[in-house]
Amino acid sequence: MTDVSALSVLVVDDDDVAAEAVIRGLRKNGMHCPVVVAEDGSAALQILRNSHARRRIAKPYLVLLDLNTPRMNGFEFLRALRSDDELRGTVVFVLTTSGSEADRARAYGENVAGYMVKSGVGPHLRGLAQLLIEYRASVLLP
Amino acid sequence: MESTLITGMDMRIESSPTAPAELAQDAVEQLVQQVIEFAPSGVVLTMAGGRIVLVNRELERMFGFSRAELVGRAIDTLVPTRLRAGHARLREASSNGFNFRSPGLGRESFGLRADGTEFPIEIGVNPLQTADAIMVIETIVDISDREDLERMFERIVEAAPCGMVMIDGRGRIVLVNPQAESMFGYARDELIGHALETLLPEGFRGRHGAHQRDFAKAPSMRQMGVVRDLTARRKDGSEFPVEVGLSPVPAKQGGLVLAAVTDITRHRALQLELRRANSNLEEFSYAASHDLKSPLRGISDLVDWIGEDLGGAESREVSRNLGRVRDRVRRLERVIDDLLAYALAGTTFTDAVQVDLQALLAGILELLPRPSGFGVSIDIKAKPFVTNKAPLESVLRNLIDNAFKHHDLSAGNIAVRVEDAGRFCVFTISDDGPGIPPASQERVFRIFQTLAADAREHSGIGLALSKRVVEAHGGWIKLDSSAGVRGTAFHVWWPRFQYSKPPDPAASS
Repeated sequence: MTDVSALSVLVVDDDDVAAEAVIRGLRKNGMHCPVVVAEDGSAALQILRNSHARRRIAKPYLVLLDLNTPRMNGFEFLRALRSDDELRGTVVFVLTTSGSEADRARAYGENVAGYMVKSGVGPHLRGLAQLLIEYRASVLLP
Repeated sequence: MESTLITGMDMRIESSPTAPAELAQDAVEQLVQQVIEFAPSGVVLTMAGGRIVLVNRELERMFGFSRAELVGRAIDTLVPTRLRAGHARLREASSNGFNFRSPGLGRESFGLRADGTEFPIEIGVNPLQTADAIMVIETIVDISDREDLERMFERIVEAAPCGMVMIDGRGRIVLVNPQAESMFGYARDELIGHALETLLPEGFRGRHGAHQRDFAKAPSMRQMGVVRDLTARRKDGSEFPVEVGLSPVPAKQGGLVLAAVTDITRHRALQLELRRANSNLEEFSYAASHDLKSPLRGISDLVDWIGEDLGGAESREVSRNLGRVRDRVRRLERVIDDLLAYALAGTTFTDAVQVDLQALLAGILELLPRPSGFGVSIDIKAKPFVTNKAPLESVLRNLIDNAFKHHDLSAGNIAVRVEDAGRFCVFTISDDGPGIPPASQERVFRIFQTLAADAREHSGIGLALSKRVVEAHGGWIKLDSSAGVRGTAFHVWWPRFQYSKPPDPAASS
């Protein structure tokens, strides 16, 4: 077990297989941490605001956000997050299939901590797991 | 004038105070006679009553009469019946001295030839005072050529495919053609003499004066409305986008400018439509890349997990089928990528750079997996040029890769030749593979067509994509392969210069 400090991850993805792939990938690559899944932006907001019926997340946490989710898409979620006094400092990584330059620019415009394309983070998300392990070890989160 | 004396055909000229004193009377007479005889315009001398006493050589030629036929006859012989009264008045006015102040040419009329045909002339009428009587000398210039030119100009203006408007130095309209009339909804006489501003939108009228003065300062052919949007105004007040070509018209009356006006409403509409189609395409490809790929990735993950969860306990059959699922997922992923590339080919243009052909080809060959036993020869006879490098590179890579992949033997040779051909650079990639049967030659350029039995390696988009990229950049691609003969050659004509619009390949081949 390498979880020296507590860090929870909120995965926002409407595809349950994609969300599970993140969970499995992190575990397989040694990143053991609580992972909560939200199927879209509004569920994610409820979880972060502690108003979700069933799911809770403990601080400190970071968000792995897929951009194309139904109901509230990734950008709408980011906008709502940045205009929420409590949540505007939330660390968000975009994890998406879209390599579009426009999406990337728009996401960084909403102050995301990083933009990752799923096909770019290595087999079984190894790169992502390593990044989060390092991140957890050296970055102080809000 | 008083010093000149001529009687009948017998010309005697009194020496004038200004005539050279050295010349003898006879010599002067002879000289004057010759000057008249060989003058470049027709000359006819008549008595006050209209009887012809002398004609020169040019007049004979012009009217088709011989001297003998004319001398002694009435001047009316040379004047069309309907113009005779007018002509007589002109002669009379002249001999009364009215015309003295503006001697020479000036009046346009018609002459009557011996064969009865008429022709346009310019005529000058001057009186000659002799000792006995007043005579009239008329000089005549055949202006058929000039009229021809004028008619030609008119015809060109009338038949031009665009609206033509000519304005004078004060900005008044002096000429419009039917196309301009229908384009602007005005009749000709509603425009002639009016200010050009009539045809401009309200908001533009003030500014136009300044533009017009600028043009007058340095008149030259120029195109307007290509970069900036230019709008014109119809009679009913509606406005429409135009392109205008301006050219100064060299004429005695200075400051004439001919404007060729093209209504580009349709052109603009098409442009908009195209822009919309392009943005739809972008949306489509975005959706395709996300919505098609995500579930595929899911399937691929699920297959992996099933394998992991079975932990090696699965039967050979299950293991084989999991492998087949993975293969198909990979194939589908490649098809989606290729389809996206195809859909977007030619819609994105990168900056043009100077291309070193040797380095370009070496770079492609270095990165391509080359089967052992294959040789590649490169022969570059073309000069480097400036172009969008990435698309050219992708086309050449695809063609060379195809030559490797579709070769049926374990060893072979591929030759890449580059030559200049006018404004194109021609790349020829030839192989000694099996060749492409004539029946399949057209098909290979279509999407999803592959001649290879093993479809796993080829999505069948490569050649279609190459063709699309080449054409989007203003070139074209052609294949050479003969029935029964081994080997295929692909020729790519790639423009050596940047074009904003692809030219018609047929026109330049």
